[in-house]
Amino acid sequence: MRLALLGDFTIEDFKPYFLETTLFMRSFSQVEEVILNPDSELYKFKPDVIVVMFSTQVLRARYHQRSTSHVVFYEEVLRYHQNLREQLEQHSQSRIVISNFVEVSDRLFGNHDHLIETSFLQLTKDLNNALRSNLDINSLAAFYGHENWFDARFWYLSKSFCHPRLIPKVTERIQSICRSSLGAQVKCVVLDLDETIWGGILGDDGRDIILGAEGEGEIYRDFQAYLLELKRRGILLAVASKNDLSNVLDIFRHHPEMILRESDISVFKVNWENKADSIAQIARELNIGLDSMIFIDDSPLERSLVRSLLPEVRAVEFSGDPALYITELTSTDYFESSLLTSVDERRGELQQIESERTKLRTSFMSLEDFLRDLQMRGEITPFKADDLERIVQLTQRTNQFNLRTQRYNLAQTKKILQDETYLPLSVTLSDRLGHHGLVSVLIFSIRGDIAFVDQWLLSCRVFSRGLENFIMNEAMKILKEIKISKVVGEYLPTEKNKNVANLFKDFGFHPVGALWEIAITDYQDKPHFINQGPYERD
Amino acid sequence: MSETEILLKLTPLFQRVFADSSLVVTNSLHPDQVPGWSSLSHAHMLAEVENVFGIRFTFREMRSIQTTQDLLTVLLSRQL
Repeated sequence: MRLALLGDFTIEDFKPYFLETTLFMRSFSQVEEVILNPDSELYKFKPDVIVVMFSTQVLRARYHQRSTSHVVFYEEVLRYHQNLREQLEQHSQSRIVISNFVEVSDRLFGNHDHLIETSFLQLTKDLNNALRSNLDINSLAAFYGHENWFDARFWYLSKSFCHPRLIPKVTERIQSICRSSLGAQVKCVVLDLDETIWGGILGDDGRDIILGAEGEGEIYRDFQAYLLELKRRGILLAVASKNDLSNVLDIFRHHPEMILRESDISVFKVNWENKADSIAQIARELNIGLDSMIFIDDSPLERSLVRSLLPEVRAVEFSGDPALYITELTSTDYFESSLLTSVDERRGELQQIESERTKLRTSFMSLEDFLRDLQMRGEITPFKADDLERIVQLTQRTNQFNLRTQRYNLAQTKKILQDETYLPLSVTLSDRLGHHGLVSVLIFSIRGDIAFVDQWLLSCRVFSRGLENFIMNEAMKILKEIKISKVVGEYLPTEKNKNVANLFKDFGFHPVGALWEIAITDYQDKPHFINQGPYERD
Repeated sequence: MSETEILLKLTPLFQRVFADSSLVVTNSLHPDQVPGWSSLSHAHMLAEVENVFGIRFTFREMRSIQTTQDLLTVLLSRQL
């Protein structure tokens, strides 16, 4: 990328933020010199993009020192800028990006500045309207606040465009424009569902997910409405979610508060596979590049997985507060585009049709590498008194990975803890990203040398990480030590626990009537990437 | 805040702004001795000092600061 940066201030301030780019920079009056001379070094440099920036500080100083009327001044400035642009377009093949002016009141008329046709505020507004520049510095300055933006000391000290701390925000804008001219324009947003476009966990909460006009539900409703705007603007929406498709479609079709409907989504990938695979499949089906995709997921773990396995996909970094989803997404500039065309507006629909034609399978990516890299540590221990509340909470709330869906209250749990015919175990998990706390409960009831799986549940936050394998391996070791010879399991189906219908079978248990059995000596350890041990903070 | 305490607090800040992790700030440090200390990074340094020390320089103070000694003079005069 060859980038020319021109500005009527110290544009060299931007240099440290463009270390990867071949730069041509000119400041102050050199700007018009290189633009107006067809043989100038600017044109010899053959930039891919030319960025020309004009500071409101220079404009204001000139305005206050003008010897003409407001109207004449306006006409002169307008003609000057139009001429510069024409010259640029005539002498170069480059993409031309020109900044607008920050619209700021000098308060000569106090609160009436915005009503006065000959105020400086009106001058900047009129110029911006007439010039229709494509680098919106005005909004950027408003976003960070004029008080921060115009630190006069830095202007007088070194002719800084804005406060030094805000310069990276300006250069980010320029960089996102450069990226969009290299073709890496966003075409598709891949969405997680639970805790992202609605609150709560569909598998657990069903139709009672948090979504609606009031309270927290409003946050998710507004976020969906924002996503719908993106779709109208021509960006495709796809879903990558760990859920049951039938539950998801039920919500998209029938939930009264849903803003996004089934037809708004170009591709649904609803399964229990890793999301990188789902995203790669979406890219194939839509026939778009991974670098044109944005991934939106509340889970730092999923984002980290996608970043590791598909580095080209941009996973939006969220701070974790759903109320800030829109703010944080808009501050990324991922939706920078060169130009909006009518084709853009139709693209969503066209590609949805194409996707229906080609349902492709994608190559497998190494989930193992990702899981290994997570440095997970699991610990399985008998119930601790301190954990009882969390254990009760899990037995009350967990629906998906829950073999018998036994709801125990605090009194029952205490009883189990004291009853010697029970072996109650709980599991904690941590990884390099942090501690997940107590995520699984496994209770055996013991009759002689037979252990019955009275309760086994696993928090949906830690699905698909091989934790169940770790737990079963470790549990079998413990049972062996206490001389158990046979383990008996039972699966009681509910609306929500279909996931685990084959769990015992997968662990090598044999069906015996309605139950599942395995001789402890027949159990084969299952692979996983979890080390035994407690959570350790670095 | 004593001169030593100020220098100690300036060291990580200078290291970050001037991109030199081995930099040790002394009262005689001069821009010529620090490759990353340009007129551009100078303004960043001033902004960061304001941020880290929770102060606001006047324009005159900013103009007066060319070397570490100048910076110290201003910071000590603030009786932080």
